[in-house]
Amino acid sequence: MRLSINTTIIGIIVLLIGINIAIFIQGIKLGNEISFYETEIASLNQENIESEQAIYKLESHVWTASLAAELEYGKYNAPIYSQLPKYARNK
Amino acid sequence: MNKLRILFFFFLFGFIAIIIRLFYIQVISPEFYSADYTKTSRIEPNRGRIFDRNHDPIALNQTKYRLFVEPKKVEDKEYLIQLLEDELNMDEATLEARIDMTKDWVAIQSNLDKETKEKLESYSLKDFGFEQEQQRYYPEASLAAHLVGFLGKDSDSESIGYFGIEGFYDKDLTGLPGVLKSERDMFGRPIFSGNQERVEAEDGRDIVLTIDKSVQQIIKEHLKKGVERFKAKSGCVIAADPATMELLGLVCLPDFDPEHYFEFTEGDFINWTISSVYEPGSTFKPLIVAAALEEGLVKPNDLFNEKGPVKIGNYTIRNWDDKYDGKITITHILEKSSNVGMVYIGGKLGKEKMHEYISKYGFGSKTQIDLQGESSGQIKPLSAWYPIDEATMPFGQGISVTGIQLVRAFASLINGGNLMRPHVVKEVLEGDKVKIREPEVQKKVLSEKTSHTIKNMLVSVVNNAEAKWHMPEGYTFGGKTGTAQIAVKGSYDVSKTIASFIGFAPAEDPAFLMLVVIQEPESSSWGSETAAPLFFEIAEDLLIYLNVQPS
Repeated sequence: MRLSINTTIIGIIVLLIGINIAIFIQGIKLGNEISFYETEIASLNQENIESEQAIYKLESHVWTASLAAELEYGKYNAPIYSQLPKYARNK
Repeated sequence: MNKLRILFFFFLFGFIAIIIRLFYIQVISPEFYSADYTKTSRIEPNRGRIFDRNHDPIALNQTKYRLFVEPKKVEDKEYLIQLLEDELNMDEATLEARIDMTKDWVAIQSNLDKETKEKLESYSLKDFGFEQEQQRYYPEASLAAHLVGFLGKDSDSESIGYFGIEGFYDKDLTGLPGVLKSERDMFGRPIFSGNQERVEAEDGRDIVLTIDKSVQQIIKEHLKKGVERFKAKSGCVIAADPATMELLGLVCLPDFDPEHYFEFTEGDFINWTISSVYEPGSTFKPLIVAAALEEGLVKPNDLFNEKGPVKIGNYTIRNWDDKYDGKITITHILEKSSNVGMVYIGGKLGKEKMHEYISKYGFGSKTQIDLQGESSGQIKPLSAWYPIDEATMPFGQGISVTGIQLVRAFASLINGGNLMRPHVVKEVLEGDKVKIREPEVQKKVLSEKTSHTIKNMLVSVVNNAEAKWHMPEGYTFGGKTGTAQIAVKGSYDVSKTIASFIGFAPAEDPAFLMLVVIQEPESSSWGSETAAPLFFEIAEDLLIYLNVQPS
């Protein structure tokens, strides 16, 4: 009977030590995960800012103007139907 | 029993060791250890973005990088200097001076883009590193520079908005920073069972403007050509919806690049239309005529005998062309921009009423436009008026106004008599919440009837003006030219003028009211030969862009 109590206590101690070690390891793993997601969130945020910048750059008048200059597109290429409707009627 | 005693002592010594260590860490040397496991950092909010009325971006955020060197870790200084010299185009002497080997940390260059950072990182050197810097990105560059302002730094190197929207709405745009308090292990990982406190940052509010970037583009393109063509010192254009006083466009040239604001001087940042005052000249005449109409002192077809110059004390007031036509109507006084005729109307109105109406139109006080740096202009108190002031004020001399004040007052002439608060912000977005800015009537200045009458008179001014302009066919315009001499040390310099035109179209239901101001033009000093033709050039494109059908 006495032996079985000692064995039980030792068993509980061993179990508690095991649980503690498991919690400790799990804590480190979760800490790693938190750290990983923190970095991920920061880089996604960064990527988001960069993508937004890249998209809006392509929609800007500045970009369009530089493209027009590169393609040598000037006022002489533009349709003038609104000022001279006769052009619109000509087929 | 022996085994239990051994176990007891084993744990006892273990606990005593832990207690002694904790006593040392927490009582004897707390400063040294506290920073090691508790990380407190500020979470920076994203600054609110600025969009035009179609939700096209005007100001966004971007990340730039600051390159730093830790001199004590540098193994080969010569190689490092050579590398940075090649990659950053910095000269050797500057790099040599900056990399002070006695220091732990030195900043080398800010404002680096991602490509440069990645290129430098590819050398895999431990000598340097990078810090992120949040900066503003203006996709349209200087398109709305005076309107938007820029994001600079204050004395503590904190970001702060200056001028325009960035300055006026700085608190809304900035947001609130968050705080992260977290216990970390020796590798910097969060301790799961430790204390983790995180108060999220609140991002700044996004702002939607009333301006349209295409309208800005149209105005800027024409103004640039106009300033060059007239060999002018500078120029400004304001376009607004006269019914609501929503600004559709505002451009002043020369302007500046808000992203590289540090390359410009303070004078370049001043928005002339709200911060500087000038004598409006003849563009002021319709305001006085409307006041006389409202008081029932004149009617459009009343006759006035324009005999010749008028003498007021020692001063002689002449017409701009020194021509006098005898009997003319009140409408014709405006059409030919007669100074003598305006002295007559001013006399009928009297100085008390004139002063009252000038105040009612909002001159001498701020318009409360939502832009930073507005000035109030100047009107003399009635007690300081001399007879010559009463004579010259009706044709816009002896009074200082800002461009935006003139536009607001002029809008009241054609919108039914309401003095509206000019504004640039249409909506403020906070997450899913949208706060819409409603037009605000500040004062009722004129009756509907007077407004209708003066609007017709202004249409007649454009149709019967002595100068003939190329106007888009099928549209009716109203407006008035102005040429004001610039006062230098108490007298007028005839060679320096501010030429202007304020007009609206289409007259039946104006889509826009626009003020064009050309400062010190050399090709011609007259508003009718500079600002007016430029007005019609811009108006032609605006009518097409705004899809206004010819009547």
